[in-house]
Amino acid sequence: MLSEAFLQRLDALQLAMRAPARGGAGGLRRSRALGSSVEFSDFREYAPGDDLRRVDWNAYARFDRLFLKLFMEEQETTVHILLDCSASMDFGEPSKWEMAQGLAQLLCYMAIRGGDRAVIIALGEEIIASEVFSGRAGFMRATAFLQGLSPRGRLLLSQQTPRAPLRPGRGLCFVISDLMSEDGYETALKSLQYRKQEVSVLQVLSPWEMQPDLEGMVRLVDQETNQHMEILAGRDTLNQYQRALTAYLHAVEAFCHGRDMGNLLLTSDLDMEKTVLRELSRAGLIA
Amino acid sequence: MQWLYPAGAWALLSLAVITALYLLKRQSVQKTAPSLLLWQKAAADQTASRPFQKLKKNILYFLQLLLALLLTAALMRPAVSGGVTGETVLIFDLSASMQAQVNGESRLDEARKKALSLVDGLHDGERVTVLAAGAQVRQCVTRSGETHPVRAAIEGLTAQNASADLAGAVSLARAMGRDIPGLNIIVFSDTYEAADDVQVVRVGQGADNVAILALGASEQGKAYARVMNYGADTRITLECQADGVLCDVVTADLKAGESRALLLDAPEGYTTLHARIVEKDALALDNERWYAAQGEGSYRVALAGENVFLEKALSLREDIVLLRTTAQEAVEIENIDLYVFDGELPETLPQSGAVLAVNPKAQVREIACGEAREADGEMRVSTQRAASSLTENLTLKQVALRQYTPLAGGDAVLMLGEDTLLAVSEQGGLRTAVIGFDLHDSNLPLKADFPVLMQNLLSFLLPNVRESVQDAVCEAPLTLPVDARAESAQVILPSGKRCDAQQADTSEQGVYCFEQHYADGDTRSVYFTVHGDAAEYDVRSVGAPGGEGLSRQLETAAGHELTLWVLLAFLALLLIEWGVSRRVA
Repeated sequence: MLSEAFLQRLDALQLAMRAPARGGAGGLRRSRALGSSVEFSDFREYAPGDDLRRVDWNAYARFDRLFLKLFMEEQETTVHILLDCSASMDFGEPSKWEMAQGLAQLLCYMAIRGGDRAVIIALGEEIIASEVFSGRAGFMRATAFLQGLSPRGRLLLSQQTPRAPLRPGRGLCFVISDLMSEDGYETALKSLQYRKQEVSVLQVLSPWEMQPDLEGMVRLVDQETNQHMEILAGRDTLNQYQRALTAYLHAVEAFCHGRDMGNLLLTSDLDMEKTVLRELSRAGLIA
Repeated sequence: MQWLYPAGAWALLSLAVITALYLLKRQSVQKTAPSLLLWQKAAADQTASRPFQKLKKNILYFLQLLLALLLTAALMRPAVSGGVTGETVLIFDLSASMQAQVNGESRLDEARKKALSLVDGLHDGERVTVLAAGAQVRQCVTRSGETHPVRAAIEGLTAQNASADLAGAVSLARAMGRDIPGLNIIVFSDTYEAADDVQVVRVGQGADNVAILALGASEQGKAYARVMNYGADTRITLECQADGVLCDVVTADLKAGESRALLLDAPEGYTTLHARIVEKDALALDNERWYAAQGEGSYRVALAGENVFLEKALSLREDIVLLRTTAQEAVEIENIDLYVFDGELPETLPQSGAVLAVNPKAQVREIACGEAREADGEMRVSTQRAASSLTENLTLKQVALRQYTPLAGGDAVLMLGEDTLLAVSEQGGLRTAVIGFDLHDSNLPLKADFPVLMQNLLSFLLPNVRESVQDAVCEAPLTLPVDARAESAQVILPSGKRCDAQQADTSEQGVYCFEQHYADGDTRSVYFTVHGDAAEYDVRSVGAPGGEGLSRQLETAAGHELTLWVLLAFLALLLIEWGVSRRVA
């Protein structure tokens, strides 16, 4: 879990949202609605029933007519954090799960701190959705929720994601996963966009997956499915794997870029407080 | 294709060992992966070559099996078919010329090598006979189907210093061929000419050679050596040793084909001379020659009776020690080589030594005397074979005889009509001569024929051992005049080897000693020399060109062992296996 000092550093940062918030309660995130924020929007003539506190008395003195000052209304939004809780996340040293937990906590903190609401949805063989977290106490509960999760079982990402109970309206959606799902990731991510979510994909892989150190005859066992396959881990085979991995990562990147989704590849050995934050910023996911 | 060492097949067990090791070896290491998704993609990309990948997984195993197979094949010594087929007789020329060397390899070495290449291709059921054609033909291996004894026999062959009886060897092989249809006869020779039923593998090549053909004593203090140049113009250095001490060195320029006598200084009183050409040439055998000086000896002759004619005639020989005595006393004197009885005979004739009896009154050994007769007619030479040498240089003209006693037995030498006047005999090494008339009853002692006749008789009765022992050629049979009184007679070879005089071994070249031992401890030694056959010294050519073609043909047909190639393949595969194992690792 993240340290208090690190969390304090996050106070100066905010989750980036490319589209204005819509449909939420009043918050800190700019919306298309006109409201009571400090950001000026327009003038209009006074009509009976308007709030007299919004009359621009300077304009009345000059034009002798009543005008109302219109301001942008700042609304809150819901940040959904979809966390891959399949067994494949429990791999590596440090494990991908630790990285995923840390990311979820970081996003949750930044969402709550930014006046948004946060919902954590654990995707596994079952879907576990948290309550809506907001406020300082909400972050504490979110942390406890995260600590109560553990990676296990098999996840079919495209099958489970559309079933995730998202809050209505537009919102931010972070998918934290290794995207190693047999049924692919494309359907899952498309379904989130369909549900008016601004999707960002945080793909977490272990260093071993990036550079496997195998030699000789190896019997590989799938951590999720217990399926196995035998390979002769020679130079050719490892090269072939690297080519497959590179192609896969490029495909994810191209898909996200094409769908205007945020995308960031992280390895589980990265330092959360130094490297990950910088990478999130560089990817435009935080500002 | 055949295997020269089938027992090497036991190494095939290594295949089972390798397989067992692979079975016992843990096949793979288990490793947990978060997902097989990408591994399956990687594998799917290689789907097209999956069979090869499957093979690749076990390629080290297959390579190691192949290595074991190649090693086993190498141990079994594979050979391509060829060489002898069916029944074959291999005849080896062991003549002296086969010792000729070019570039350190003798002609026999080359023959041996070619023959071994033939024998190594021996098929199952094929048989080989090896004949060694030296001065005598020797059967080394008879119809052997095994390679090992044939190889051993061929490798054990050595060239002799004499000519080879190749004709005899081929005749023997042909005689075998009468019982064995399809018999191949292959002669390995430098000179033998091919015949219809005989294949010749020609060996050697022409080479220059200088030989010492003769070495002998000249006038006092001189010796001579005759050298012959069987090659191009050359210069030779000839060393001469007398009894092992260097006494002279001469150099001579010899033109091609020139034969020249070289005079050498030699000290007096030497026993043996040894001449040697210092320069090396193709044939070392003829670069040395020996000469044995004639030794001096004396004979003890007992003369019984007062006969001045006999005494004078006997005294002409310087090597005779004459003892005058009576008939009875003569037989009591020891070590008498010749007893001469004039008329009177002892009661018992001597059991050793030669006997010359003149006008005896009784039988002398095998020769009996008849009744005395008056002579009527001319004395003549007998037609019998023994008479020719004993009557050499006799004229017998105007020889008168008054009375005689006809002789019977032995070989007649002189005749009067049909009666024998002089007879000789030899039985058990004891030589006897009987003159059947009193010398005083004839004018023969007054004639020049008498000393001649006496010397001829003495030559028969006292054979000069030195003169009888002739210098010989290697491997030729020796006829040595063994004294009947000698207890033993031996021949000592140059190498020091001793053998019985009747079965003397003449394989070596050099100075031999003929040694006779007597009961009184006396030993008489005669030296003689044995040399190689001069007919073998000309090694300028190696036979007709027609034989060369056949030789090449046989070489092509010869079996070749493939072990070296298999080992090279093994090494190449070992390198590949090493590379693959590194790549897999």
